[in-house]
Amino acid sequence: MDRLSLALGSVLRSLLRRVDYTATYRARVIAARGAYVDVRCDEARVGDLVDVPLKLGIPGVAFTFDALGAVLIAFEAADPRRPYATLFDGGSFGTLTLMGEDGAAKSLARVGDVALAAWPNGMVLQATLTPPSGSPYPIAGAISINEPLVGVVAAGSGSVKG
Amino acid sequence: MSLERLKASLAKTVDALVGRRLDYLAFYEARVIAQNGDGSLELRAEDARVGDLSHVAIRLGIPGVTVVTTPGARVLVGFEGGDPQRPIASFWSAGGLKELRFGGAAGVARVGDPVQFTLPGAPIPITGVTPAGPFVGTLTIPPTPVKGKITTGSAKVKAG
Repeated sequence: MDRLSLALGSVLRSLLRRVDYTATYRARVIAARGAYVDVRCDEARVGDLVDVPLKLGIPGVAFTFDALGAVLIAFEAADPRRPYATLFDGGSFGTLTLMGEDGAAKSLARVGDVALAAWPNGMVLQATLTPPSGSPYPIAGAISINEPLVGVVAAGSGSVKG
Repeated sequence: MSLERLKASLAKTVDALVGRRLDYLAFYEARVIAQNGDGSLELRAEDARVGDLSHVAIRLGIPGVTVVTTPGARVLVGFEGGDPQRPIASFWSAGGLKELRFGGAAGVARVGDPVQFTLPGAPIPITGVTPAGPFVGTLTIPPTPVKGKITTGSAKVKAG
């Protein structure tokens, strides 16, 4: 094999060893801050990356990590300066918020959750009271109940649970 | 020619041949201009080489879910099979959600949302005992809906 072939082989090998920035790489999440994570890639050539933005599979979703897991790292426009994290492997979330246009997010209610209401005004009792001795006599008057009316959510989605 | 110079020359040649071409295996940042009636998107990519894309299908991370997004939402655009004729929108930045449907159309309820109890409008038979003796009668509740609020909910999942 002549020297040119050896040199060409070396060049091609070095080119082929380059990171393919159209591929995805598994990485462990080391730290999380809002919509950004710091990660350590399993692939040493990619190495550690900081402040990598999360890109999620649904718009309007935000979450906090409870347990850090792993993600896949990809690169916008195959540009090594523009990594993003997506597609989770393990880990868990602390809170997950589906934020639409309706303003502040509130906790989802589920079957079994509690609802409270005040009894209406204007309740009227009409009855006949029978004393131990003597004749029955009518009683009547307005009734008010200060304790709230308590209900529970009795039905809900069969397919979405939380 | 030294090995380093050969490498540099070859790398330059490769870049000249393919470096400036759009890589249709990559994803590109884009802004939602509008959403069409069929759910597809009109997009404007940040990268001028990608430009404007019309009727781009949304690919979500969960099956059976549909979204209505808002103009200005940020999403990554890729190309199925590396085919420029088959753009897809996936991987969203925060924000941009107008409506999210998990198959059904009824809104989920949240803590603080109103609930309505319906109490019997007709007089309710009652019995009871007082210190003065037992009584029998009726309790009449005005036929107005009783309104309340949900007071407990998930500690982990919230919706706007």
